[in-house]
This record gives sequence, structure tokens and C-alpha cells, in this order.
Amino acid sequence: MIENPPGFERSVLRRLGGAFNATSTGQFLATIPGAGKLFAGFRGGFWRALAKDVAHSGPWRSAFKHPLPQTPKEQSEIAITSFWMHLHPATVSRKSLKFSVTYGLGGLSAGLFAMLLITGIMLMFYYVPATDHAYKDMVDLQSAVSLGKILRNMHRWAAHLMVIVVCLHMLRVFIQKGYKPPRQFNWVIGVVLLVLTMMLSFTGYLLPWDQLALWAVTVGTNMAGAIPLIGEKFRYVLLGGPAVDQATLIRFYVLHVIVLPVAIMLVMVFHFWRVRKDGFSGGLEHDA
Amino acid sequence: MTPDEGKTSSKEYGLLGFIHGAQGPGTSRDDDRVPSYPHLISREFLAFGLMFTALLVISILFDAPLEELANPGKTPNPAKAPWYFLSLQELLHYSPPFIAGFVIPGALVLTMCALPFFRGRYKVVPIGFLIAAIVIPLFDGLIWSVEHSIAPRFANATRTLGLPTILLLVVAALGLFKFSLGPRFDNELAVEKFSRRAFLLFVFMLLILVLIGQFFRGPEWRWVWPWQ
Repeated sequence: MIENPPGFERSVLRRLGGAFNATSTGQFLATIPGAGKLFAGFRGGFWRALAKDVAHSGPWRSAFKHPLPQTPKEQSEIAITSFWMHLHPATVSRKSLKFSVTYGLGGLSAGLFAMLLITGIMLMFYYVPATDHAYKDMVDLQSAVSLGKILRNMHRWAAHLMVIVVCLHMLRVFIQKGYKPPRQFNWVIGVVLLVLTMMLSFTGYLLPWDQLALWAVTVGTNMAGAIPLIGEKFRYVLLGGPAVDQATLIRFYVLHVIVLPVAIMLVMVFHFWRVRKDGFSGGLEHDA
Repeated sequence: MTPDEGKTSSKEYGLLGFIHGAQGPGTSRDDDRVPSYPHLISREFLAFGLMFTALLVISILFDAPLEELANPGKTPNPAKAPWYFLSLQELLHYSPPFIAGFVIPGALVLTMCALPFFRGRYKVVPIGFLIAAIVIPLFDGLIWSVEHSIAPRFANATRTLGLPTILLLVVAALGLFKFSLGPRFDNELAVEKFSRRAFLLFVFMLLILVLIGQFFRGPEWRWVWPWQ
């Protein structure tokens, strides 16, 4: 094996226009807990230079106003210039970064929602909400579409997981007294998000149009009939008739793919913004 | 950012506005704070990656259920709601629909929304909701079971009328009224502790009911062991 002469890497990098301080990409990856060593190679060498060049190129900078920020000043400024960062607080206390404070449950709920959005849109390419079509589409998806089965599995399991994770997130906030001032209203928004999550899951339950779907929704909507005075009428409007049928399928479909996702996204963004305004996690900063 | 860093910087800073309180979020001067970028973002990145991987592995290993084509003429026995509604379905088995389908879920959502706003001795209000929500199903279930074994003919009649529930609500309301006046609820901390425990107990009860509904209920909603 031929070894490079000393200083070889440096000279190559110089020719590539790279600088010698670690690139911000490398720094970024190195801050991932436990992954610092894994990405150590990323800090130097060809990839480092390439990442730097891309980050400084015209098209990249037109989309991302800052190349990956490095100084504390740049890292603060990005909270203003980046939309994604704008949804976050500018700084967080080290304490609340600890895994055992949040267990990442709120972020995971949002992540699961993102996964459901992506897999859900892909499922929409194959699915027709008609009683003579829906079940066949499901069977075809599982047998004739490449990776169709995994796509459907991911959507289904992510949906169940999201209900569980949202509940655990609320339990975590409750145990840490996170609903106390100044976060009372964000807790209420959280309750709304929980209800929306369950409604999303429930409306999605009907769409495969198999026995499980039909009867679970029949049992579930029968409970809505227990509401005094308006119960039966409410159930009728929800189902579009006296029993679960085509009218119910299209209603649940529209709720599931348009109404509820848009609603939950708006409320979620508000929830994040309030987290930023009220202080991040754990009831550690503003405990009343 | 520390004041020192501000001095060495060539950038001019504008005053954006005043906020109430000693220090707003993000302006704390203790060294304990770090910028969200990259410290928080990198963790989100990692968590999302792990979650995606886990989800992919689960989806490869386990298939989502797909039963036969929906058939309105053929009711499965038992017909079960989605798992997160099973606690209500379980309650529906021995409480009137008005209680299981309306009062308890309504009380839960209302209590959760109201939770941050009740202070001092008024904490007894959500506690009252919760205790009633815990005790009613247990009481109903007990009465129902006893009746069912002694006089099955009358069991469904009392269930429909919700007599045990109404009786219990009256007792609970009287008890609560007496307690709220008594010295026991003058200690705010004790009330707080008590109400938090009541809430956790309620959540725990719902969880137990979900597990019973999912794994221990068979045809005619009879008790079945999972291995049967």
C-alpha cells in the first residue's frame, strides 16, 4: 500500500479551495450524541471541502441565507433567518436537552406525523374511496405494488405509534407539571392535538373497508349517539345516513386526507411557537 | 449570548421590544444555555433517524391487519372499537351509554383542559370530576356483576336506568361539597398532590380498561383469557 507523503491531504484540500478549520457540516454531525467518532472522518478530507463548497455556492445560499452557521452569533441569527429554526427557541438550557427530561416524545410525535403525511400521500396514489373499489385497492397494494405492503404497514404502525407517543408526551408533561404558568394555554392546545390525533386515527380506520374497519367504526360512532339531545342527529351527519356506507366512506376520507391534517398542522405550528415563547421543556425555567 | 461577546462583535444590534418578567426565554445570561442550532437540531435529526429505522424494521416484520371485505350483514362477535376507545366500550358494557359515551369522555377532556386553571381550594372541582369518573364505572361494574349473578333478569334494567350512577353522583356531590368547606382543603399543596394523584389514577384506570378490552374480551363480551 502506498502511503501519501506528509502534507498531501493539505495540499489537495488547498487546491480544492477548502479551509482547514473543521467544516460546519462536520461540526454539526459531531454534535449528534455518540456519533462524534462516527463522523470524525467527515471533519477532514475531500467530503469536508465538497460540503463547504456546496454550502457557499450561489444556489445553496439563495435558499439557505447562511452557510451552516459556526459562530455563536451566526447560530443565534439563524433563529431569525431560517423558517425551521424560527419554530424553535433560539437557545435551550443544557438541562432540558437531556434525554431523560423529555424523552424526545414531543419531537417524535411531530416526526411520526411527518412520516404519516409522506406515506399517506403515497397511499393516496393507489386508493379510491369507493365501497366497490377500496378493499380491492388494498389487496392490490399489498400484492401487486412494489413495496406497497411496507408502505401500508408503515402508515398503519406509525398511526398507532403516534396515538401512543402523543399520550406518553402528555403524561410526561403532566408529571413534570409542564402545564403550569406560563404554559397553561399550550397544555390546552395539546389536549386539542390529542383529540385531533385520535380523530385522524379513527377516520383512517374505516378506509381499508374490511370487516375490522366497518365494525370498529360502527361501534365507535354508536358511542357518539350517546350525546344527549343531538346524539342521533350528530351520528347521522357523521355517517351520512343511518349506517356505515358509501356516504360514510367519502366523509371519513375527506376528513382524513384534507380537513383533519390541515387542522392538526395549523394547531401544531401554533403549539411549537408557544413552546418557543413560553420556554422549552421540563417546567425548569418558569416554574410558578 | 454573553455581554462580552456583544462587545467584540462588529455587528450593531437593534432593540426589538420589551417583555415582561425578569428574563425572557433565550436571553438568559447563565452559561447553562446553548444555541438550539446545532445542539437541539442535531438531537431531533438523530431521533427522527432512529424512529424512521425502527418504523421500517417493524413494517418489514409485522403486517398491518386486513380482514375480509366489509359485510354489513355479518356482525363479528365481538365487534371491537379501535383500541384507544376500548376503555369506553368496556364501560359501555355495564354503564348506561349516557355515562360511558358522553359523561366520562366529556369529563376527561374538560378536566384536562381545565387542569391548569384551577387553583387553591377550587382544585376540588376537577378532583370531583375525576373521582366520580373513577368510582362510577367501578361501582357500576360491581353492581352489575352482583346483579348478574343474583338476579340476571334485573341486571339490564338497572344498567339502562343508570340507578347506581345517579345514586353515586348524589353521594359524591354531597361529599365534595362538605369537603370543599372543610379544613382539609385549606392546604393548597396537599390538594394539589391529591388532585394530581387522582388524575394519574384515572389515566391508569383507562389503560387497564383498554388492556381488558383488547386482550380479555371474547364473544358476547365475555371474559376470555388471552391463551384460550
